[in-house]
Order: sequence, then C-alpha cells, then structure tokens
Amino acid sequence: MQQHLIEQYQQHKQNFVGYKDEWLVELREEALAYFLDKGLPTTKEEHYKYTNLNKLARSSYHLSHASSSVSKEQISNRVINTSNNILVFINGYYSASHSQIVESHNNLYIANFATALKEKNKLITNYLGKQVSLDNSITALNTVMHQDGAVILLDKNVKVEHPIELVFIHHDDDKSMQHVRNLVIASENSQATLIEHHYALDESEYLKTIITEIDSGANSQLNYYKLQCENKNAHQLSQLDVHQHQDSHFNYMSLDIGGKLIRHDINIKLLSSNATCQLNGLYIAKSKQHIDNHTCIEHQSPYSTSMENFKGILDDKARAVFNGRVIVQEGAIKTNAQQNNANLLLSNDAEIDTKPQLEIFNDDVQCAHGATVGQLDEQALFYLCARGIDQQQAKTLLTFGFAKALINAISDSRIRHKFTELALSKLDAEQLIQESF
Amino acid sequence: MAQNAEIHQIIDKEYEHGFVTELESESIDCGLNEDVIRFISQKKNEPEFLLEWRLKAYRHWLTMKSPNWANLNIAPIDYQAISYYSAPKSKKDAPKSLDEVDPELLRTYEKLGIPLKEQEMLAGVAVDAVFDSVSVATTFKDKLKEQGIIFCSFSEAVHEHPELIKQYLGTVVPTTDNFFASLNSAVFSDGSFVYIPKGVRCPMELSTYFRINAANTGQFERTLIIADEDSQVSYLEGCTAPMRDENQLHAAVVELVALKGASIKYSTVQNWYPGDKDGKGGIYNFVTKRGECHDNAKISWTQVETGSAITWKYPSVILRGDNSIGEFYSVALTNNLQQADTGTKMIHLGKNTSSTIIAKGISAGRSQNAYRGLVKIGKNADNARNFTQCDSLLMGDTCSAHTFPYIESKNKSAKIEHEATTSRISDEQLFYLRQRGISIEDSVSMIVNGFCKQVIRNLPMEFAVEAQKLLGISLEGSVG
Repeated sequence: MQQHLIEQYQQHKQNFVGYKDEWLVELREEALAYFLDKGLPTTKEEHYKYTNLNKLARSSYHLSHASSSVSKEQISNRVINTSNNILVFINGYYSASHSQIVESHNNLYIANFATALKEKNKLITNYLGKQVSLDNSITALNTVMHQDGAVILLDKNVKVEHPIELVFIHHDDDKSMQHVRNLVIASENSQATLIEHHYALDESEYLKTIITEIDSGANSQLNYYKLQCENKNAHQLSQLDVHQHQDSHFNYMSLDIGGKLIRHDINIKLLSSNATCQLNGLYIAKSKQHIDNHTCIEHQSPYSTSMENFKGILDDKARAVFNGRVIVQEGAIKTNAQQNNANLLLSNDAEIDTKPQLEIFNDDVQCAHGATVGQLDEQALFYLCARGIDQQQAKTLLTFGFAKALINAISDSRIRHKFTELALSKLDAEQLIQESF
Repeated sequence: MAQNAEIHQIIDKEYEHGFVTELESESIDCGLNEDVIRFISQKKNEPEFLLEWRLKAYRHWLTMKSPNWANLNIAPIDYQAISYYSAPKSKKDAPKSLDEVDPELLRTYEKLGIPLKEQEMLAGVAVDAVFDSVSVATTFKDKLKEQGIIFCSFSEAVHEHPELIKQYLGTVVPTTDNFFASLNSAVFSDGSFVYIPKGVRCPMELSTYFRINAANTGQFERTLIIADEDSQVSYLEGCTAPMRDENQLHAAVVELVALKGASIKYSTVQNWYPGDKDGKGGIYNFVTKRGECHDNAKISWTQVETGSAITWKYPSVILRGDNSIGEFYSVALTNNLQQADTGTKMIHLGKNTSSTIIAKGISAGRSQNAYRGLVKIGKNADNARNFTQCDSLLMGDTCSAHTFPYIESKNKSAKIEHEATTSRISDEQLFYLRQRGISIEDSVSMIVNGFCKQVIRNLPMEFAVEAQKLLGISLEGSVG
C-alpha cells in the first residue's frame, strides 16, 4: 500500500485542499513519511490484535472521484430532518448543492474544510492535528490524503437549535478511497447536536478513513450521533478525538450496521475537573462483517465522570471486537468511571473479543466495568412461543429488546426513531417499526 | 527406639543417592550454553530422553525474546551472569544461630507464630536435622505409599518412574511455550512430582514443606502433578514465612494433569523477599503454571501473592474434557515498589465446561498491581460458562491498579460474565472500626481480610489462618 500511496499523493497533491498552505503541505508530508515507515498496523500490535488489516495493506486504492449522479431525494430520504443543517459530502468531496445551512449568524460557523481554510485559516492552523497526534498509521494515512470535511465553530453561549447533520455518501467505482477530516470547536457554554451519517449508493468496494477532532469548551454540551450504514464491501477506519474542558458534557451514541471491516477509535480526554462523558454504542453484525470499537477514556482531572455502554448483536460469521480502556491519572481524584459491554451471540460461527481495561493510578476513585457474552434466554423464548408468537418473530423481539434500552436513552425522538428504524431493518424486522412507537 | 531407627534410615537413604553429596563440591561458572545443560543432566544422572528434551528447549529458547507485554518494569536480565548449576549452599555461609538472622525477619516469624525450630529452618540456620519434621514426613510417606501415591522430588521421579515423566512432562506446558518456560525446561533444577493412582483420594494435604530434599529446589523449579482417573489431591506450595533465598531470578513451571473425573486443588502462598523500601533487591518471580482437565475433571488454583519484587504469573486451566471445571482464586498484594502482573487463562474447549475467576488485587505504597486474564471459548465448547470478578483495592495516591481482561468467545451458547471494581477503603468503614477502639492498622487489616475473604476461605484451614496474618503484616506502614 505504501508505494501506491506515494503515487496517489504525487498525482493528486496539486488538487488537495490547502495545497498552497505551506504548513498543511508540511503536515501532509510529515504524515506521509510516517506512513511509509510504519505501514498499516499488523495483528502483532496489541491494538490490532483482533483486527486484521493485512488484506487492506495488500490492496491498492485510488483516490475517489467527485460524482454528480446523486439526486436530492437520495439525501433527503436518509437524513433525520430535512429542515436541519445539512452538510453533504459525496465521495469525500463537499457538495454545496445538496447541503443546506438553515442557521447562520455571526457566532456560528458551519462550512466545509476547503472554505473554512480560506475564511478561518488562522483558527484551523491552531487546531488541526493538535488533538490527534501523529502516532498511528490511520491518522497518518488520513492526514496525507484528506480531501475535505466539516468545520464547525461555536462561539461562546451559542445554542444551535437545529441539529447539524453530516452526510457522507459513497458512489464511485471499485477500489476507491476517501479521507475525511472534521473539526469541531465548541466554545464556553455552547450547545449543539451533531449527526454523522455514512451511506453507500452502490455495492462497490472502498476504503474510508474519517477523523473528527472535537474541542469541547468549558460548560459546553455536545451530543454526537453516528450512524454507520456503509455497504457490505466497505472498509471504514475512523477516529474521534475529544478534548473536554471544565464542566463540559459530551454524549456519544453510535449504531454500526454496515461495512465489511469497520474500526472505530474513540479517544476522550477529560482535561479539566467535572467533565462528563457518556459513550454508548450498538453494533449489529451479520454474514462476515467485522466491527471493532476501541474506546479510550483518560481522566486527567478531579471529579470527572465517564459512563460507557456498548452492546453487540452478532449473527452468522460476524466478528466484533470491543476494547474499552479507562485510564485514571494520578491527580484525577473522585473519578467515577463505569463501563459495560454486553454481547449477544446468535450463531456458533460468530465471534466476540472483548477487553474492558482499567488502568488506575490513584486511590480515590470509583471504577467498575463489566462484560457479558450470552445468548437469547430459552425461557423467555418459550414464553413468547407458548403465546402463539412464531419462533422467528419471538427471537427478533428478544434481540431487539436487548438493543432497545440503549436506543431509548436517546432523548431526541426523531433521532431515536431513526436509530430504531435502522436497527430493525438490520434485524429484518421492519414490521416492528410501527409497533415500536 | 523404633522411631530413631526410622530416622536414621531416612538420613542414610538421603546419602544413598550419591549425587547429592557430590554436588557440594561442584558447581559451574556463570553462563549458559549446551555444555552447561549436558553438565546439569549428567550430574543428575538423567536418562538420554530428558537431556534431548532439555536441549530442544534450549535451542528454542535461543530464538525467543524476553516478553515485554506485561505491565512491568523489569531491569534487563543478563542470562549469562547466572550460574545454572550451583551446589546446595554451603552450610559455612549460613547463619550459625538465630542471633545472626535479620531481626526484622524474626519479628515477622514471631507475628506469624512460627515455632523456634521451624524459624531456624526457614531462616536457613545450619541445623543438623529437624527431627520433628523428619519424623512427620516419614510417617506421611509410609501412609502415602500404602495407597500407591508417589510423592517425591523430581530428580527422584526421573530415576524411579521415568515412564510417567516421559509420558507427561511438557504435555501441558510445552518446551516452546514461552520465554521463561523454555528457559526452565532447559535448565530446571528440581521440584516435586506427584502421582495419584486411579480412584485414590489422597488422605492428606501434600505440601512441599514436608517433603524431604525440599530445602534446595533451586531457582528453576519444576513440578508435575498427575491425578489419574477419579482421584483427588490437594497440594500446598510455599509458605507464609519469608524464605531466605539468594537467587534473584525464579522461573518455575508447574504442570497439572487431571485425568477423567480427577480433581486437583493447588494452593500457593508466595512470600519471597520483596526488596527493601526503595525496591532494592527482591526476587523476580516468573512462573508458568498450567493444568489440563479431561472429562469431568476439576482443577482449582488458589494463590496468595504477597512477596517478590516482580510477580509474573498466570495459573491457567485448559478445559479440554467435557463437563470439566476450572477455578482461580487469587489475592495479590503489593506494597512499596513491588510490581505484580498476575491473573489466569481459562481455555474452554470441551462441552459444558465452567470456570470461575475471583481475583483480588491490593496495592499500597508506590506499587503496581495488574490483573491480566483470558477467557477463551472455543467453537465446540457448547454451554461453556464463565464468571469473573476482579476487584482492586487501592491504598494511597501513588499506587496503581490495572485490569486487562481478554474475553474471546466463538460459541453462541457460551455465557460469560465479567465484572471489576476499583475503589479504596472508605472513610466510613475506617471510622466505624476506629470508633470501636480498634487501631488504624488493625482496622485496615480487618477490612483487607474481609475484601479477600472469598479467596482465603478456599485455602486449606491452617494456611488460611496464616495468610490472614500475612496480609496484615505485609501492609504494615502503608496507612497512616
């Protein structure tokens, strides 16, 4: 892959966003050198013990092309509410014609990366790549090739009324790759809801890397939802890095139903006191899907709280990986960290590898984690069947019941509805959609 | 008189094996190569197959690297600076009487309530013969023999039961298993061998403590326990009292084989020298312990780890047979600059297998304590069941506690539960006890013992009482 990447980089570097900004070119080339040196991680590395990128490393992908054959309906069908702020990226490139920004004032800035680089150059120079350090190959790969992305800047005390939806659509020929870079800076007291969508309009094979950097200012409140519905030949390697300041709240909820090989790295740093984060995730995998969630929460200051709850449903030959790492640093007294990972295995060929990991350097903490792996309760199944519900439906009801507790925690009803709809369609239980509401 | 004759018989018997006396005059220089291994094997008068086995392990060891995945800071070890065959320590260097022994050590013995004679033995005082233990051991040995139980040193077993050694040695921990196991396989000094025949229930707890020749098993101990079909045995290793030991590196291997319907309970209390307050000295304890369970068999590990500067130890169970059971109960306590990375592996391969893991970590001072465990459910392990609980107790703001539980499940009917908590002794609990006139140290000791109770009650009774005292003593000075 390395050799191929050089060729791709040389070929496209004149067209990249910010090719005239020296610092950005330098950043790209530094990352290129890193990637050439390290290559993609192998299973010998602890972080990739269960996720094999070998096949990916041997393939070569070309940079994606812009596509103009996406209709407006194809977007509006998929977003949560057409009256929201919507930024659409097709094959990694921003499409102004599909996007709409309904809320715009002096204290709120929503734009794509290329535009923001022109308009807010200084700010981006200060923030980009500061939270995501160049210490892994995925970051390096993304930094070298990133095409576009969203930039969202919230000034002090701004409350964004309408959720901001970021829609990433794939529609390209086989073996394309796209690299997206998002930056969110939420200043003091600001509030916003972000939704990240991933869809594909065809069945072609592709690679997508996506890195999102979030700086969550003092007393800010961010809700971040991620709906990953890539096609069955997709590879997505994503990274989310959040820096939380004093009294900030960060809520995250993801749903993974698509993709062939999915890997998410979620890194939260609770930098100042009283910061709180809640990470929830639901993954439903079938056939030969591989879904890997790696979370790392670092408590650096006193009185910080983290709550984590991931649930998985695995069928056929699917495989899921969960690694939940919680680090409590020396000074982070009165930390409260709770973590849970529950998995439902529906087939004998499915596999789950879970590792809830605690690293604690201080005695004044309350930390707990739990992990379970199990199957559907035979008695509950019997109970339903005895009441005339056919077995398949009974199984689906119980499976969805397992996932529902997580989905129900979503406060916004439209977003909750979307999660329910997608989860049920993955479970082949569309008929339950009406009954759920 | 009859007893005396018996004693003399035993003493004479010890000298029958000429090599024991020969050892005293010979030892070889530091360093490790094939000649050293040949030398060890020749000195021990080992059969050809064992020498080949050692060499094979050594050749493999050469290709390996010292593992660095554990959460430990280990100063690089120079394997060429160790003498791999040293004669039992000359009695000249040993303290002549208890007056010459470190008073700190004696204070600990006193607190544990160890009789004077035993204190001398533990401190390595040159005593001619500890008559009490010898007679006890002899009577025990006769009783065991009656039932066909073999309980002897490894070297003895190599000579007297080579067929059993050949059949089982290295079947659970192969020579290629890991860096330290390979090293042990190449140069192992001695250890225990136990064979329980079919259907026999061992009438007493077997303990290294009572085994003659146990005094100098050396730094590379090898233990092999075979429980034949439907037999039962409980084995105790170690001792609550701190042992005098001059070898810094210990790399032991313990293999357990539980055949159909057999049950093995293996208890360890490890209290080797942990180094002084600044972490100087102290034993490096790198142990590979593993058991294999056949159909309906059960293996239970119980350990109380309070000593050693570095502990690297993962007693594991391979649940190969259907309906087999694996258990792991552990208390690991670290203080000052001690480091422990310990846990277990439960590999479920057979159907209806179950395993329980209860691990309690206590860290104080500037120590590091990590639980690292693996629960693996194979594809054919229908209805496998695992319950894991690992709790950490932290004392002081400079210590650390880590948990690294790996769970890998490939079977849908498996039920796995894992839970872990980390906390410190609450002020309310302390206040409650202090209010009742209990000193702070006793209060802490009481709370810690409560925290560990689940594990300690799995120890044989006399061990349990000592282990409780030990926990209190090991934590001395850590609260204030």
